[in-house]
Amino acid sequence: MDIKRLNAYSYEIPRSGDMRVPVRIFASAPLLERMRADNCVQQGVNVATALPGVLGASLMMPDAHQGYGFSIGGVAAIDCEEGCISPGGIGFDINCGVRLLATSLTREEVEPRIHDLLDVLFRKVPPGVGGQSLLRLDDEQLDEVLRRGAAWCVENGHGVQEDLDHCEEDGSLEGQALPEKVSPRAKSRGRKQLGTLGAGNHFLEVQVVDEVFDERVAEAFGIGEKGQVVVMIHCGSRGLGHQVCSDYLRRMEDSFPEIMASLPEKDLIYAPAGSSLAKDYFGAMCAAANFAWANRHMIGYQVREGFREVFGPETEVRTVYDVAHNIAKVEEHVIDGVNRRVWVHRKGATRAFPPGHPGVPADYRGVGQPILIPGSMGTSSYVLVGTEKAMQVSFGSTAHGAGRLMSRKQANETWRGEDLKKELELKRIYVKAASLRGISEEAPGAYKDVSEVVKVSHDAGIGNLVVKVVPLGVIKG
Amino acid sequence: MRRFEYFDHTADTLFRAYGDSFEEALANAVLAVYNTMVDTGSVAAVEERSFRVEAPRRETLVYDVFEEVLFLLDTESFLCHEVSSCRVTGREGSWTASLTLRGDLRADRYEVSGQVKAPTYHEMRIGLGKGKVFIQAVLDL
Repeated sequence: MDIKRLNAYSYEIPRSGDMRVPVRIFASAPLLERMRADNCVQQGVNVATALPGVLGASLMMPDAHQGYGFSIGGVAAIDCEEGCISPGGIGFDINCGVRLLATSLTREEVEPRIHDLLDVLFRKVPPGVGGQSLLRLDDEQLDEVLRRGAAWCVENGHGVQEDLDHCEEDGSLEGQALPEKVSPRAKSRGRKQLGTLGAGNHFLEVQVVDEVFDERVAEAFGIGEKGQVVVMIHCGSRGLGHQVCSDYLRRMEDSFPEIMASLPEKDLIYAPAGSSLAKDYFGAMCAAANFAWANRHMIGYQVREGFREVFGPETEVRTVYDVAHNIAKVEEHVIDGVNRRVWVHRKGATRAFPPGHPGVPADYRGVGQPILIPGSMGTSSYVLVGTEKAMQVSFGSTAHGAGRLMSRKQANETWRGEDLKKELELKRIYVKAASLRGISEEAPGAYKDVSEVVKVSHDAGIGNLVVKVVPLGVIKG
Repeated sequence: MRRFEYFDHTADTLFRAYGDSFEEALANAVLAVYNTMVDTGSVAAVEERSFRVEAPRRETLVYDVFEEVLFLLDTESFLCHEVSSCRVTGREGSWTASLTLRGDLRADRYEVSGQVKAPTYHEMRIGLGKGKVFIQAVLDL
């Protein structure tokens, strides 16, 4: 495969053969080598070739690795009128994303009581398989959550307006979400899961601000003090979103057998723009995205309650921001000099809008949109800020995380959960998990170095470094 | 004979389940799905759940069976000990699978790790090897 180096942090596979657009890869040389080791570069080519209406370029973010159909870390802008929408370009966990909360506490105040805090958070935010919501939603309430997203939570006494103001899309795709297009089966899977963490790579982490790269922006985000305690939440739409994706993959497969037969990977199946299935899927996907925002909102609310239970009712816990990293959004971008209305598919990629953009919360419009990039358990995570350059070269997108380096099977063969827990405690990182195997599967060494990922983002100008945070307490499903 | 085995797959889980027949391989594939999360041998067989799926292709049938498993997990926290019956009938264009699983609804009694989000078609294969039927699948974790 002919991969052309453009500069130290970006590469291109020029358009050739049946490719509709080129592939552009944001990576350093070592990250590119890792991408070449799996099938993800070919998946970038497949997106450039197979999807009608794909515009500009098929993009791969610095953390790209092999997915299904699309690579994880893949971004594609597809014409809303003449293109298509592809569930594989969004992912099974619709609106999987990250929320960051800032507290008024310091490491010195929290660390002596970290075990009490983790116990309380473990109780208030049920993790793992079978962890059930503290809310009981009837059919009508669940439909309202799907229609209104996190706004439903605030209206029902859970959280405050600022939680919504500091969230991508204000935590709601109301007007685009169609709860009636979500199957009863998907609703059954999600009914008991609002405000639950799930398992796997999802986590709730108590962290400490460790390094400030950009004081002005960090100050604007309210996370400018070294030693300040923050909380990061990583999860998505739970079983409801997974079922929406599966339901529509199957419906598209049944409705468009000729498209299915033409694809290099079945998980690239799409619905052509203008088809009723494209409209139904987009409406259901937006409803699942609303469920995910309500889910992270409820977890944030439960975390706030937990901190106040341990550290007193005056403890401040405010939402910094919440980003989606598995989603398709209707956006306008200038592509080849023309303003186009597109579905930007971000699968394992984070929106990175610049200062002044109307999509950025008023409180942050002067500096740009916060970008939240979690590392692996026991390693650093980062807050970045969106840039004008990202609008020009990556449809306002950047990376979303570290990306795995090692399979779960290998990780289990390499580490024991109990040993790892003790090792992390020696580094003053305290872990409470639903299972020991869950700890070994998510061992820090099983992931790529997120520092290299965010460095490429910064050097490429598609998301600039603001703050580095390090873990203090981890809750895993 | 190994009923199933796992292979390295960076982000997710790739397994291959074996059987003397497609039915046996499918039953073992269900156990492989559960064993990514829990040691099925440790789960008590105190509850029974049955389901039936119809699909035009065998790949789709396998996908839908896995979907049923995840539905039971999310809605009832059902963990499987064994597949007590697995019957597949039909031909290309119209397949039906009927399965009965025995297990437990009390997920909090077992060490459960990770969570299968969804089945995928990625690298899914159904075939014959060394005289056995095999089903290979990747699960999104």
